[in-house]
Amino acid sequence: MVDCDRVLDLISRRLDEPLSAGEQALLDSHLASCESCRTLSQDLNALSPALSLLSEIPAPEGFADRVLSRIREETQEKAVSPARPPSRRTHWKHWAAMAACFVLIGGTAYRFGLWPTQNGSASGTSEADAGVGIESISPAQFNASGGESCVLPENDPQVKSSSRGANIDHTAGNPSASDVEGTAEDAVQVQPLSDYYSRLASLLGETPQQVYFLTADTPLPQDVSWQEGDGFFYAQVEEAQFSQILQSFDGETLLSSGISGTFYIISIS
Amino acid sequence: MTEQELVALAKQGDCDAFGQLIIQNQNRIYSLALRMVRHPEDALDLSQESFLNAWKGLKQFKGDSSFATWLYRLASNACIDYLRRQKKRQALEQAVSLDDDSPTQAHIPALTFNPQDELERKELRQTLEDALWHLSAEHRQVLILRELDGLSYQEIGDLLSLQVGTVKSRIARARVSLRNQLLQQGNFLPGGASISIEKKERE
Repeated sequence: MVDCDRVLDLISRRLDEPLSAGEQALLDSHLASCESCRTLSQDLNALSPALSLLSEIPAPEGFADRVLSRIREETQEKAVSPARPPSRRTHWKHWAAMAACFVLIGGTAYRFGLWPTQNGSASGTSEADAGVGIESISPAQFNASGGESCVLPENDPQVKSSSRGANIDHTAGNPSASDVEGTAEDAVQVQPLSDYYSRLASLLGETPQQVYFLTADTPLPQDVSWQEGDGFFYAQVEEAQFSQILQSFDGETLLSSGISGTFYIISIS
Repeated sequence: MTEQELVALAKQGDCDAFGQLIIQNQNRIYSLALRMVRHPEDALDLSQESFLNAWKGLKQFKGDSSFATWLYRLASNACIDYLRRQKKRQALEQAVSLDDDSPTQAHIPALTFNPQDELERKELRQTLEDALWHLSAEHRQVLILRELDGLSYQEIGDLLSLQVGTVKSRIARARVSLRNQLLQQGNFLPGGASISIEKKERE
């Protein structure tokens, strides 16, 4: 005598696929003698076609559009700040090797100095460094947003940058444009900042490795000791503190404010 | 354009191609989600999330199955996760056995379904939806896949990462659960067919 559990599998499976002759014989024989399973079999036979009455339920109107607009939103966010979080973290690791960092307050967000790359050399305008993090305002944006306000020397042949990256190499205190020269089309002048950089360097008597220019509308960190430079204020901060400062504002907001035309470098003095 | 071509374009970032994939699959995914969680808003969220996750994970989609199947798996798993998280279901997995006291005993006459007009079909659909909802999530899931979507045992096994034997057995038990649920719900039969189900009081 076959047990009812085994027969249940046959009853169910018969609804989905043909049973073998042996299985069918087994089932028939059991059903002939077991009323409970016979009833069950009749019920399940009726149930399957009934379920076919349940049709697809249409998704609400505009479903696809809603999903697509969310996708586009997220795609745009990525485009504005490609891979920021991992990139910033990576940079921090590299940056940890640095002894100190100099922050200039009063300009737009613009990094100036060295970003060591994976192999330890200066990153210059490397692809990897282009367009990431708060330091990624392109000089084109930088210039368009307020270059006319600059009163600093017009020609600083030492320093140029392409629109793709924001780095300017000052390897070993020897400013050089050799590896950051952009094409004629996208080369823009960033002399104002280079001038600040030079003035800071001469003030310090050495070449600072990392210099940041912060937007005027960025809340200024108060817990650092500001010193007056030659027409600007600067502060020397250590790694942990610099980390806090950068974390205290949103890189994206900073980037946007630079693009939107806020450019106050002249107000430094 | 075939699904494969649309997927290839979408992988390159073509939102319009992905839009086509959404349109092709949205009703099926939404139906699944709604039947699984029963709350229209949650079902909407879950289906949208499933498509978003599919978009984000397109690079991981190697084409071993169809996109529709892959998407269905994302949605199906999302629904199960959701139900587990929400703990909306309390009476899960009734042990289904022909030896227990469930209404499978011999004296209960067989169910028949003979809806004679649209109103009766509508009632029957509602009855079935209600009964489905009272099943465990796992049973509901396999019944939807098998009975409503017509997937084979093998396809369901692939989708849910289950052995085919497990799928067969789960479907069998899910069917019995559904049948028992319908019996417990009382005499729902429209059209007064030749059936008299033991009527039970429903609170």
